[in-house]
Amino acid sequence: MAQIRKDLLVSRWVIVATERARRPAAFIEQTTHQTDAKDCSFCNAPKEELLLTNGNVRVFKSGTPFFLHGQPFSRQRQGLYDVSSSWGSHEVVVETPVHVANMADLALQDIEKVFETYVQRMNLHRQDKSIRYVLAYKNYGVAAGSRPIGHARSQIMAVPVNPLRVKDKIAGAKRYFDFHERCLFCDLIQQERKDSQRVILENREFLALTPFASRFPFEVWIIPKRHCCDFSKGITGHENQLAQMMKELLLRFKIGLNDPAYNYMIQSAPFEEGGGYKKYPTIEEDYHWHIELIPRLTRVAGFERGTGFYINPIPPEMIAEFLREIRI
Amino acid sequence: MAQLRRDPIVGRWVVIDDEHPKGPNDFSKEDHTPRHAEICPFCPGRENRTPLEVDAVRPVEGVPNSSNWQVRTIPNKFPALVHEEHLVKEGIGMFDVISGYGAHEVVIENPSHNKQMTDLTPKEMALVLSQYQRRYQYLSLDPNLKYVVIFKNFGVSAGATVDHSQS
Repeated sequence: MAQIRKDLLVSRWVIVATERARRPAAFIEQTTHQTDAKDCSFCNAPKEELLLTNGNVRVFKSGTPFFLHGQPFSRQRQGLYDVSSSWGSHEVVVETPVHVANMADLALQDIEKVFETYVQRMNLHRQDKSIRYVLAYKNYGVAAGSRPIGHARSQIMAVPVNPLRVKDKIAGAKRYFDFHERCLFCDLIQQERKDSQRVILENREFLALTPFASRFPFEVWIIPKRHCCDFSKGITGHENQLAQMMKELLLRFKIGLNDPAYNYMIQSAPFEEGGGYKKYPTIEEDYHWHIELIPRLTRVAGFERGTGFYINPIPPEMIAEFLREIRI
Repeated sequence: MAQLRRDPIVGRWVVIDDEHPKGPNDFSKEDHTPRHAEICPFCPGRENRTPLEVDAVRPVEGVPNSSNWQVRTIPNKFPALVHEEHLVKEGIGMFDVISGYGAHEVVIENPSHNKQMTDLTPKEMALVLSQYQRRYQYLSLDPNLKYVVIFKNFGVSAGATVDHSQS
């Protein structure tokens, strides 16, 4: 019989198959993410504007930007609708000069530089008071939303509004803190380390686990053990620890699941100073930054779209065990 | 330049690309020709290959699971939630868990394997909708159920696994 589990942070219910669960190995698919280097615009010099170079990492303005500093920032009302100009920035982080597709295959120092680069871009965008949120994320593989170019890169979006998912997470964390006077994530780390069945990896600074109410098979959260709401502050000085954990997880995906497409999203607190007042005055104590890492192995269909309620065909405990046992 | 629009119901912002809009035909299409009629468990005459029906519409009163149906509803063979079980609520440390109580049903919309929903006549379509209504009303009698969602997955990329028209 299935179980229905509640995600504590956003109060979302997930159906987790138990008896009819598929085996972790059932998700292994044959895919290739390799493309020819001679057609690769990231090997040759991209024609887009170079925004930053940090070691082997280069940041370009996106060739098809959804957010631009082009036109004055404005918010308008159109009847009962709200409209905003798409003020902001849409950037491509090219992670290596070499034609390597998967971040899993980069040197640790290069991965470290990628995270350091995210911080540099975030700190720059923070100075723009119209920017509310910056998301650093990766689409690896066509199934994860990437164009079919096998050159390791990630993206940064700086946007002038707070995304709903971010607001939901902040509200859930605040609700928990208001009641318990403790951080939800700090409690989660404590309980999951004690319980240990959903823990995949741990190093000095980070814990990688499969969330209790995972929406997708192989969904992984990387949570920093030190409490901090903001990625750019929390990561500083610990880039190497995150690089080590990320590389290890990505290699386990690559080996255990035959190089699946995946997304990761860095979930950090919104910028506070926009509009000249603190919108989330307690966020430093009640929110805790983290990373969601999700291979793209299943489809989202009518039930999920109609309810926001997910069906996960495999218990996260089985996934954690599977990922723990992969030898790299 | 793109525009940001806010959905007034849930407050979600959406980027609308009005600078380089794609054309309506720029999206990839899937072939939806119904196949595998010879082994389809939803076709009339193969009622014994599905779980026993929970409701059906027949032109004349017939025996349940006989083959003269116009619309037929069966429990999903691989249900996400099961109706026979007891509803159990439990706390595990800081987490909340409920047993997988519920119903997961398949409405077979038409006996014909080759008809998609767009091929149904208004009368056939009305039978499908009134079947939805009957299931909805039946399930709403169970005080343990809080919500019923009726949905359709058409095509593999929408999550369909069987070609025969169903919701």
